[in-house]
Amino acid sequence: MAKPLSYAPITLIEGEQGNGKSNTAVARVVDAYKKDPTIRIFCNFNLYGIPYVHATLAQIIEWLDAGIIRDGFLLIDEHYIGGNARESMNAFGKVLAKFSMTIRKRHLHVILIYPHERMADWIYRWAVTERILCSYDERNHMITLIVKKRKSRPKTIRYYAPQYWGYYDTDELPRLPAKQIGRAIEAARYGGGEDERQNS
Amino acid sequence: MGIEDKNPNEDKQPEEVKPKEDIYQKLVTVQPKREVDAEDAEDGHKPLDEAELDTSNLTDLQATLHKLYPKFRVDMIDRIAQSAMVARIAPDIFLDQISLTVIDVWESLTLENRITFQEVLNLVYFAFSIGLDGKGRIDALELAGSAKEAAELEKVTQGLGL
Repeated sequence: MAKPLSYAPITLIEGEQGNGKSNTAVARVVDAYKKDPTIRIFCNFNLYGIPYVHATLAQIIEWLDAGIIRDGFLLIDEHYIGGNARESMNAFGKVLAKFSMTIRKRHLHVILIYPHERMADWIYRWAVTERILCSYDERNHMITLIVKKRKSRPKTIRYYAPQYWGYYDTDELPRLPAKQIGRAIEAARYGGGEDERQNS
Repeated sequence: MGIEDKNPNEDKQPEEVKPKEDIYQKLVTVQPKREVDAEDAEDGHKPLDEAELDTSNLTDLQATLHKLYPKFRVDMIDRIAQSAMVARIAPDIFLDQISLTVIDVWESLTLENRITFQEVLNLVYFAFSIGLDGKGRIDALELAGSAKEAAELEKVTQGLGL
């Protein structure tokens, strides 16, 4: 079924570590899959129990360019790795910013997960259509969401988290881009001065 | 020798284009669902999408205020009522106030927004009775205070683990 160009929600989920951000993103996708098993799901972390395509950040860019990532859900957890406001001017950040401007044409529902909204590049924050703030109650395993969509009042939603635990691994570690790791190691090893480099 | 008028690409075969769907089907994978350490994970809990549909956009306080201080269909009655409901109407002029207001509203009604006289009387009476002796504003303040107290109490008990 053809969707209008305006069908392109961009959801930004934020919250402290362990407050249910990934659980909420996975819940959205799992519920959508149960309603429509033909939807396409792309994700930069592992999902279980539902069909999906795992994509690293590099693959996301490559497949966006190739038109493979479209008509479905795109989940990017620990998004700050590529979309951090401080990194917005590197090549990776620039491409992601351009991608943000074409999401509607790709009929994608994008879900970005950040510890805090301020860490996202301003382009993502501008394009976001829905903001979700999460908190988790360990006593009763309930996640509370404050959901704010454009042009509507915020609403509070609570749901039981464990029903989605089987679909992802909360302990999975995100991978940083390899070159960033390399540069950081080199900087830590040699410091900043030429003398230190010669003495090492 | 004449120049042959031939399309140089005529003999070339079109490149095979893989549909995007084929690529997705090649990439897609399904891993078995993980076992979780939660006994009642599948115990009939409402999924997130159903929970979203059940939730109203209003907070409890907003919903209550909406009920206690309604909007009225007739614009003139609504304009008067919004002030009357939070005013401090003295009991000794209450009936006279209603009488004058009803007459004024009735005379201002047009064919487009005409309602029965009984309805005018009832709506004006309801609005003014809320504001009688300032009870309307007292109720609103009490509600607001209760909501704030409830929010404070929740903060404190969270920290205490109650």
